[in-house]
Amino acid sequence: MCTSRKTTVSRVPTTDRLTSSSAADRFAAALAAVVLTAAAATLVLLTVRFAAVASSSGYSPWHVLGIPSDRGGRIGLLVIALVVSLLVLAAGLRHRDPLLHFERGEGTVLVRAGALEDAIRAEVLQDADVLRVSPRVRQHGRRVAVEVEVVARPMSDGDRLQTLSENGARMAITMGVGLPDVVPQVHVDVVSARRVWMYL
Amino acid sequence: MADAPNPETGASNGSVTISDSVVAKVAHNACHEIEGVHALGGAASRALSSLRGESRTQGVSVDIIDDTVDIDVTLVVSYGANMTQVAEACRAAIRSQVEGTTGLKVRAVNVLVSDVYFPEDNGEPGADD
Repeated sequence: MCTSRKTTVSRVPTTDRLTSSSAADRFAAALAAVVLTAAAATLVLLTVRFAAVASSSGYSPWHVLGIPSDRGGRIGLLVIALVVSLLVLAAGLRHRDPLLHFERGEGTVLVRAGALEDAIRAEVLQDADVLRVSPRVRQHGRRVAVEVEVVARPMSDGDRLQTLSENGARMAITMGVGLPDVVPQVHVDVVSARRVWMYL
Repeated sequence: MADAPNPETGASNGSVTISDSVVAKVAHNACHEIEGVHALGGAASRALSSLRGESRTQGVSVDIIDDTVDIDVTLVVSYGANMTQVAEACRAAIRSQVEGTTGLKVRAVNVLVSDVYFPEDNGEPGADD
């Protein structure tokens, strides 16, 4: 039914893959970091306030932070926080991984583009000269378009990596969703020795 | 005689209601046995289940209307497996198991492959083991 795991998993590279996550992953991670930081800061301030109340102190971190004490000011602040939250949510939704639709048998199979991009990344990163891979899989109607940006070590053979990356991406797409006709657009950037530190 | 209860259907003796969670468990079990399926559920539900323990309905959403049922499944497929074939196998297994076990008519099984799993992600041994 499906490809044997014994022969395929051994080709997965063990390095670099995590350093080249998709843009959606990076955005989600940044968003999560911002939200968690805000939540942690709020928790600390609440703890300070509770401690002050418990020790019968009138100290309030809200005043120190310049948060208005009157009801109108606080409602205004709440509205601003709500608007910011909605903007963050909208930005998060815009950066969601797109879904690819494949008509199979009795229905449609949905595949997150990120899942296929991970598979392409794993295939191309098998070569030791490849430093970073940024695949992008999108669907236009029934056609699947694959773009792969490859960053290679200095002095690498660009033509060889071009062919290798095209084959790797094609193999990942064929293996993943059974589309052998997809022609990946690959761009290989052989970095200079000066720039290589950016990718290590 | 004409008003006698039908022992086959039990129509005059009451009704049988199958809850969503029962169907979800059957579907989850059917899908989990398919080769190439690493886990069910999206990233958030898997993170939650790691805290509260494995759920038998994770990644499965069920909507029963009368005697028909719509099932949504979210999968994580192992690297190397054909995602669409795994999804198809899952759909067939779910349809067969749910219809065979509950007697409900499966109208649709919507499968979403949300992620691909690499064994090295968890530091598991490679394929040669």
